[in-house]
Amino acid sequence: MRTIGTTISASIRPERPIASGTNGERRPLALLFLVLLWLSLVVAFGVLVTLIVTIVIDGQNQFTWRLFTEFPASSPDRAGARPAILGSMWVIATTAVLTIPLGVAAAVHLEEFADKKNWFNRAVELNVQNLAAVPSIVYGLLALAFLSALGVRDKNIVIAGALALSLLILPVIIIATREALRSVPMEIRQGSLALGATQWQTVWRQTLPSAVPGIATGAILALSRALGEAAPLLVLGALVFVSFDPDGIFSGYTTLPIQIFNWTGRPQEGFHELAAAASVLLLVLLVLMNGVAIFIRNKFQKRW
Amino acid sequence: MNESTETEMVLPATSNQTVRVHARASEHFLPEEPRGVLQCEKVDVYYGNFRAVTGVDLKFGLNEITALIGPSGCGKSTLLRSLNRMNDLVDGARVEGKILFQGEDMYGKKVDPIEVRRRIGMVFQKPNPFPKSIYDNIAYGPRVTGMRVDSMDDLVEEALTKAALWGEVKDKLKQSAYGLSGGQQQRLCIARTIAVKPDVILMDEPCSALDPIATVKIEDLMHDLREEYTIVIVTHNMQQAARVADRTAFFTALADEGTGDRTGVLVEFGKTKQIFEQPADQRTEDYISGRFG
Amino acid sequence: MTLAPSVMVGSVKVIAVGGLDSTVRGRPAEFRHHGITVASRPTAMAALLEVGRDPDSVVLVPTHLEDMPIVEFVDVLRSVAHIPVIAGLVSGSTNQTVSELFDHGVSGTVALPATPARLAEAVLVARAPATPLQPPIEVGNLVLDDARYRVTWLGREVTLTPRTFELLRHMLLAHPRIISLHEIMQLVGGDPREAAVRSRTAVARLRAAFVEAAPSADSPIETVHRVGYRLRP
Repeated sequence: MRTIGTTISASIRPERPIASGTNGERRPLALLFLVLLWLSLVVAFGVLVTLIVTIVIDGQNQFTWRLFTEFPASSPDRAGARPAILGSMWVIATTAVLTIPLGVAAAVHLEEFADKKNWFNRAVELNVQNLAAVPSIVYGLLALAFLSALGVRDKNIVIAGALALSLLILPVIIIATREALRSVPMEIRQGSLALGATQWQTVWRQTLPSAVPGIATGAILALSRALGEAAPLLVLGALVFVSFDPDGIFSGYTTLPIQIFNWTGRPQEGFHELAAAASVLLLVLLVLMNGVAIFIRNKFQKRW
Repeated sequence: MNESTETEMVLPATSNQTVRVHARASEHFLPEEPRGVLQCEKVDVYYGNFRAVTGVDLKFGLNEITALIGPSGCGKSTLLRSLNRMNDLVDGARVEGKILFQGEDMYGKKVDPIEVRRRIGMVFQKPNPFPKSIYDNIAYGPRVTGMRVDSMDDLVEEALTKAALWGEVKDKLKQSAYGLSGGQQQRLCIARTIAVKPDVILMDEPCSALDPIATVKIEDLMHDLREEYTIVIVTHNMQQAARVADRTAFFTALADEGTGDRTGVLVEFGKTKQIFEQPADQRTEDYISGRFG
Repeated sequence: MTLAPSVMVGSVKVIAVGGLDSTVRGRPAEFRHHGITVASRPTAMAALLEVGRDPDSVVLVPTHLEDMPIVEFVDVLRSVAHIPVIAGLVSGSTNQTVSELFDHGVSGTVALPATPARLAEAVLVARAPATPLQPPIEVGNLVLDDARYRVTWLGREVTLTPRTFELLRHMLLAHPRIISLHEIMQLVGGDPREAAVRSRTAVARLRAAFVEAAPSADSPIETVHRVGYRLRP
């Protein structure tokens, strides 16, 4: 037995202290790699933090009620972002109404009803992903051309902006809905069909309700992206000096990103501060929307 | 020998529980030829060009339990899914030959597959309750099929009672179906199926995901259900077929020389006792005594 | 080696061959206290007659038996009547004789004249029940050793559960007869509805065990269609 003991001990690796602090990695190359990863994180995070801190410091003077209640003015002391805030809300709301039903319906058709072998459907399936990556200004141009063809002269109306933004986020909503539908297990559909339900009944009563959390999350994230878009709206001729509240989908408007863009371009320092403050406001809104999306996702994650 | 009485049997594992074990109905009540409510005539099932099962001639007897046994990959589940047109949902699936339900070809041009599925229900291998309450699970079928119901509460109670589940869930009908155990979920799926008042119930290895105690309860239930429904069950467990089925069909798989694809074929069909004690075909005897598969 | 409780339940009859004085020492009451009733017979033949009358006895025979060769006497007692025999040793008894007697089935010795205690000990050893060990059953390439619970096939050991072991033993004992399914059903027992399937499963398990032991060879169990099974070792 002694010989066995020595052979075993000969093949055991030399002792290493337990608390070596390297989280399991021993080879120097791996350690270097870990350090690099950590540095990348620091850089990315650092840039973001710097940006936010800078904006907050720049805009801190202008964080007053005036930001919310006043119209833009030629003097920074009297200017506010009120129409921009309201305009953003109008545009986003209209976009949501336009795009969510359309996107969900398209995804439901693609996922549940379409013949997946058909060449057309396969082409659509492949290209939805591409559409989501198209630059937003292209959608602005598309809306522009479409409205011109319809003979609409004044394109600076809420509905036109909403149209452009809808086209922009439609692919995103389709993809999100499709993923939500795919996450509903096949057994649920089979169980429903085996009872004598039609395909439509199954989708409407089982699949779609189960997919709602995923769809809601995806929609909110898509809308938060639309909230921050300026390019397509500018192409449509969005006004930068608006002194009235938007009052309908055919009314003129401006949005927060556009207002920020405008104020940044002015020479006065006060306007720069205003722009910073409005940026902070925009960021806060975006964070809130994302927070709502995450909340919905977590709340409905555990099945019933 | 007459063994038509019920016997009480105490299961050693759970000290206080008694489970009624029905002895199989006496042999002389089982007619020589099944009175076919569901019938296969020279049925082949294809997935695209692949022939999954071939040459099936079977008659499923009214108020009998018929078991389909055989090694894996010999088309038993495929055939089962063809019996209620669930296979229609698979791309490229087609049926040749005739499957007659109460005398009519169920794949005929004018036949509504939705109605077929209501009349021929299915219970799956893994229990699949809907993410709804117990009540809504049962009520779903009648609602979607547009059944005229005087009292949904009564219908739910009736279905759950027939599935031997009422006592266990009557106080928590509004709770999620996911709160039930595996065996209870499977009985819920059976209750859900019988709520739409089918004629035939198809079961695809209904006990394979369950523990032995739950299995006994489901087998017990099958004996009760046989009074009202015709049951077809696919099972890998020969002992289960012996305990439960009146008639048994044995399938095997033939390998195609060229492609190596395996096609299922019906070898033998008869009374369960005869299949296991005096099988007519050598292949049956070889399979059940472990020579292959 | 101390074996015995000093009192035995009931009474064992010891037939002492030869004169009482030379074989035993002690009063009958003392012997009875040790559970022994001594019956003395002067000759081997007389002892045999007594044995015939009372087959449940033990025979004490001194090594210097006169009227019959002791080996012959022991042979008769052991192989025909299966009577336990104790050899009584005296100063003239040789090792060779004793060895030979043991070979012929004597189960113990006691020095003569035997006192109650020592005789009781010897009787205890002599009457200890011994299950006769069965020799291994061998058919073709298949060997089943019941006493050691081992099955060997083509030189390799086959792992079997107790039930499959019993089934195989039954088949081996019946070889070359075919065993019907109903026979196996009776061996397997249990619920009659399931008995047929359980029998089939038992055969399947037995086959699987052979395949596991020697994967390249066919299992030695052959199906005779619609009749039963038989060994083909």
